[in-house]
Amino acid sequence: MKWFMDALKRHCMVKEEEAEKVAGELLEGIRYYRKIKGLVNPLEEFKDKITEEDIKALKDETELLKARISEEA
Amino acid sequence: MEKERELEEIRESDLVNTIAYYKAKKAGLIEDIGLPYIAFGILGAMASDIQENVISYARGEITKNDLEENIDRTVVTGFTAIVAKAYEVVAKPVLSFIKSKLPPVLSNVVDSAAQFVKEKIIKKGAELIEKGWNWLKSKVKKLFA
Repeated sequence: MKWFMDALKRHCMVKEEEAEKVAGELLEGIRYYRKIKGLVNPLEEFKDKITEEDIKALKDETELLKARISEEA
Repeated sequence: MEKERELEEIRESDLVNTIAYYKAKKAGLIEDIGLPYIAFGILGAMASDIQENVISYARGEITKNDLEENIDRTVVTGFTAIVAKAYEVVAKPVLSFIKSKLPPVLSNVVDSAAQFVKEKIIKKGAELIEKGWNWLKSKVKKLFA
C-alpha cells in the first residue's frame, strides 16, 4: 500500500493528503474486477441492483463494444 | 446457481498497469468522462490479464482462439465491473438526492431520471473500456502486431 501510494504521488502528481483515498479506490477497483472475473456469469452481479431491461441494455452495449474493438484490432 | 471462485490475489502487474492508466488520465491521454477512480483500477487489472494472455499466446501456450475468447471475457468482465461500480458510486447517491427533493406523486419523473442515469452509465462504461483498450494497444503495439 505504501509503495502504491508513493508511486501515485511520484508518477501521477497525487497530493499527499489525497494519496490514501485515491490508492484505496484504485485497489478497490482491482479487487472488484478480480471478484467479478471469478464469477461464472459476471452479469449475475447486477441481479439485485438493476432491472431486466438494464441488463439487456448492458448486454446489447457489450456486443456493440466487442464489435467495435474487433474492427479496430 | 452460479459458483463463485476464490478471490485472486492482486498482482504486481495490476498495480503497475493501474498507475499507468491513472497517469494517462491525469495527463489527459484518456479523457476523463466522470467515472470514479475505481474504474481505473478495473482497467489496470483488465490490462494485466490481456497482457498475460498475449504473452502466453506468443509463447505458444494458448491458441489464437483461446486468446480471443480470453480477451472477450476480460473486456466483458471489465465493462460489467465498471458499470456495476459506477452505478453503486455515482447513480445511487444521485437518485437518492432526486427522490429526497421530489414528492412521491412524481414517481414517474424519478423513474425516468433513474433510467436516464443508468443508461448514461452503461454508455460511459463502454466508452471508457474502448478508450482504455485503444490506449493499451498504442502503448504495446508490438504485442498486438
